[in-house]
Amino acid sequence: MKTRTLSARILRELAFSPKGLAWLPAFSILLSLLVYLFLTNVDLSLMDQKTMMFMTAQAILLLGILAVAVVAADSVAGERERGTLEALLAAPVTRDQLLGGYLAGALAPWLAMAVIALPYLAVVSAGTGGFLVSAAYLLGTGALLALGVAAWTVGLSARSDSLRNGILIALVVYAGLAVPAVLSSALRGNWVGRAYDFVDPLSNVMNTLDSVIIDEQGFSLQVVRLLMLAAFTGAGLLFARRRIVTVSLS
Amino acid sequence: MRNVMSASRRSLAGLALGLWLLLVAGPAVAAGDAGPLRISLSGVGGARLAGDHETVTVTVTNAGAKPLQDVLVMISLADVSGSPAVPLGLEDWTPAPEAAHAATLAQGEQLTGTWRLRMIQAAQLAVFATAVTGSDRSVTNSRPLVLSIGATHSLTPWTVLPVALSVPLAVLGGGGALLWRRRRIAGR
Repeated sequence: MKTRTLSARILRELAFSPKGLAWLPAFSILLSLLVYLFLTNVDLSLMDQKTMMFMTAQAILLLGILAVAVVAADSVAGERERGTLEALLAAPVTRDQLLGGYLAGALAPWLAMAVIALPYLAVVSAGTGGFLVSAAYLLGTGALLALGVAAWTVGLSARSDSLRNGILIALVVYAGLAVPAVLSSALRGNWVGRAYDFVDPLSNVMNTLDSVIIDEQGFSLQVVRLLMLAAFTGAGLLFARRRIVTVSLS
Repeated sequence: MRNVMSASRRSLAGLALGLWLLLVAGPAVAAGDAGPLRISLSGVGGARLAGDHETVTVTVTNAGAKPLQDVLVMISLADVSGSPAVPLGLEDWTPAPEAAHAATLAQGEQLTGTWRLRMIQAAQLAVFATAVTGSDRSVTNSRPLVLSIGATHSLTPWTVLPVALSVPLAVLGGGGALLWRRRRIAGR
């Protein structure tokens, strides 16, 4: 109940203000431009439709995880900067409830963006018969990744002394996750790159989506990647719990 | 996708080049030889659709009298539907390594490399194989295997535009309604 109250407060701050609402239409306009370019741009329109589906899923994931990281970075560091942390720590709320509230609030952007994005994925998938599978994998792996990113970022936010530093750290972490996914084929040239690609959770999600959407491969080929992703999320939850227990005003 | 050709490059000259390549390449096996190496590139070729797969096998044979060291065989892709032809990055078409390598290729011995390519875009695709030997620094090219890849996607303005226009409007409308309701409640 307290977890729900806390996450609802984060949602209110995020969604029920004109500035807070701006990111959702911006996200949908961005996706509209992307699918419109698939149709009208000569270069992009030559692409195979499944590659278009993968690119759409990639855009949804990259933007969704970025939003999650920014909102999670605002959690403890933002409370501390706004002076609301004191009241929160004095309230009869356990640290687990506090963490649950922060995580639920941070996952809300992912959920909202996924709901907005589904019609785009559906329209790009038209005629391929691959919408349900690609949507299921996008939502499932994306939610697991979003939870992991939110947990790690809340944990880091708990240690950061200002909101600016918290967001900066979150963006650096996000860049660290995204770079191998964007540069993966060039990066896999040596063992360091391959190892990075193997452990990087965003690469694991991208490679899973690539495998499922483009190559139409089954679940058995995704198990190792999904286990790596689950390990990242599990470790993130442990890290966040450990950090949130030690949160103080100083 | 970064290798996708631009529309302006589509020209009659490119079409002529593509047709010429179709004629010289032959449908199934494209072979070349120079020096001690014989190279052959085989695949189904012909007309395909984006999303299809094509397995290309390249066989290099040491037809010389002495062993060769450091023999490397690789394939290259080019879109020849326009002029000039546009080189395409292999990594977008296959996860397989770019080259196969043999430290030593004895007399009469063969080195075979296989690439399973996924046709990621509509194009007039020419596949070439190149063999390089480190010992005598010779380069041998195969003749091209040409595939005419047709587009398959079914996106039309009538499927895309309603979603591209209505979703942002719905999000804006929904957000506006929520804010209006909140202000109304706050005003009471």
